[in-house]
Amino acid sequence: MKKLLSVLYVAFMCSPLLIVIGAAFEPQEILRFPPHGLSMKWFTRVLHDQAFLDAAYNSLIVASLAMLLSLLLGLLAAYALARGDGRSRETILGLLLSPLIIPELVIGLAILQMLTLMNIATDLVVLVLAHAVICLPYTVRLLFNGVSAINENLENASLVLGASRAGTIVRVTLPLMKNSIVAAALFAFLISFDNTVISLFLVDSSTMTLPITIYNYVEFSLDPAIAALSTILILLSCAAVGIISSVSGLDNVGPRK
Amino acid sequence: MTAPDDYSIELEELTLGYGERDIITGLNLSVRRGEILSLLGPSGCGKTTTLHAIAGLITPRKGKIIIDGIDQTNVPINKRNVGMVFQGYALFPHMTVFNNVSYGLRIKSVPKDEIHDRVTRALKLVGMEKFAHRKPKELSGGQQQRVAIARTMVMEPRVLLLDEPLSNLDAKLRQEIRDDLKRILRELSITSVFVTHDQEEAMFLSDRIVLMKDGEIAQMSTPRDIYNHPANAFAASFLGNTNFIPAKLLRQSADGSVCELNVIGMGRVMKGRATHSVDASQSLFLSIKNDRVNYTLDRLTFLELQGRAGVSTMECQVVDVHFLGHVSKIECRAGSQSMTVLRPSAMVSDDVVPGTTIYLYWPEEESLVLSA
Repeated sequence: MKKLLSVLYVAFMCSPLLIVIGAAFEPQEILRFPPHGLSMKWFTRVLHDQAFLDAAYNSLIVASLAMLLSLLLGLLAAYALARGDGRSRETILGLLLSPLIIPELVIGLAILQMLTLMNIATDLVVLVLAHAVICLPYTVRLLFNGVSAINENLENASLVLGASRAGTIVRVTLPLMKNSIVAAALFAFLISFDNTVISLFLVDSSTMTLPITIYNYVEFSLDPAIAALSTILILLSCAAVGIISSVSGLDNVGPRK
Repeated sequence: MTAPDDYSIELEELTLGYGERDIITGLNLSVRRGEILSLLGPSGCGKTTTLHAIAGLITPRKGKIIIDGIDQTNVPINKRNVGMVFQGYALFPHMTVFNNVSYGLRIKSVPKDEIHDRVTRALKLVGMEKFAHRKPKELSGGQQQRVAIARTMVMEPRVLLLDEPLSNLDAKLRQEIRDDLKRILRELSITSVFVTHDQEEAMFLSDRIVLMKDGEIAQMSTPRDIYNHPANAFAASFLGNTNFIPAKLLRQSADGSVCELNVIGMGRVMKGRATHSVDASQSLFLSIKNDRVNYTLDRLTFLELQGRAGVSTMECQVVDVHFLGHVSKIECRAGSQSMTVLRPSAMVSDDVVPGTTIYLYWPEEESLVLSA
């Protein structure tokens, strides 16, 4: 029974993806499933399309930088929250998690308006900062749990043995929260890489990200190119998760307790 | 009179606290060189806070911490060179035993060869040299404790602090590791301060016990003295195995040591010995260790004992009898006064059953007069 439910669950989750993957092999210029034939031509087309390649490159840059930034800020915040004296911990945590509750549409519009008022043009830096804002709730939460799960006496032991606070963090705390850091990085990267709504407000022709390019493309043409691109993205995500899971064990990734 | 340099650790007028609350106020304590001292008390008495202050994990609000004659009050934790074995041992789980023990030396950038020598020596000292390449989770509790001690001792600390070293072990293992710890501490002959809430552990391991209550020292003495001559009712009850009889002071001998007391609730007079000063205006207790009380079931013997000088007697009903192996515990009651008697099981006859009338007697000098 349990097995059957699991199979049904996986089927339910994956069937839309299978349809997209199937549609990518359609030889005609129609997006349909099942495909009437088997062709790789849309894959070739997508991989040679300069617009898609530029957008993918942009997305990669933005997601990487947003990941690094939100990871760094998240670590600092998480450590302070977990090891500080606890005053206003809930308030600060709430504030840092608040981008989760506010609709992205509102955040995007607000940032755009603010930038207009300040006379700042939208560019890559703005995009990275905006993405870091929406990544931060995930990194803070995951890293906060990561720090909290570490027995404080391990840090105290390091201090008593002569290590400085910074040395203790580098030698003891960070290695012990490796799994949380990997999880937080993965989440931050994917959230930025997938983001459409906020990007919609903040991209210009030189900073088009992949989701926006796909979005624009689908507006005018519905051919299997988009399915082929999606298939590539699905495979890349699977590869990323696979690599992480084999390196650090995905079972241990994610918030503990 | 001990010279000041015979002390390893001196705490002077130490005030400690967290947030708005002071936990310890004006604590004075001196630890002799080479002695094993335990801070004993119920949770919240400030014993762990005191230990953390000596280690440098918290900064005192007032007062001084002097180690080996040098004021350490404002020396940061990582420059203090005290050794500490944490509750649960706090071995770094991501490092091997060797790397755990070499951690402090690596921080100090000690040359590689020297690290190897010193770590090997420290591991030999605790008999763990064969386990250098294991991870902590592959070790038993006792082995982890040995590694924790080695990790501390390799730094050649001036004093060794141990925070509840046995609290996270199950009862059987605890005894085994307790024996082990005593042997190791004796061999190291380093000034050691440890914190425990277990009076048996404290008596077993320490040269001197500091009994603490509500941030103050309730009594400080050798295990034998503190058990036999508790300074007050708290000390007597915390060290355990004590019967308390509430009483009021009637008369006190000139030197104050022999008292006559009116036993409240029994309407009779009993004699007792005061080893510490008592305040007659306060409510007092007669305290008699469970194992100093004897009994008889024979009424004639009892009547004869009653007439004898220097013997206290009490007629009770048996409430329950607990067999604990080598000893048996007899719970009995006289009116509202409950009494517990601990006798070797071989001396307790099968006739002692709930409901039996039992006659208790004990030497008068075993009745200690204590303030609450």
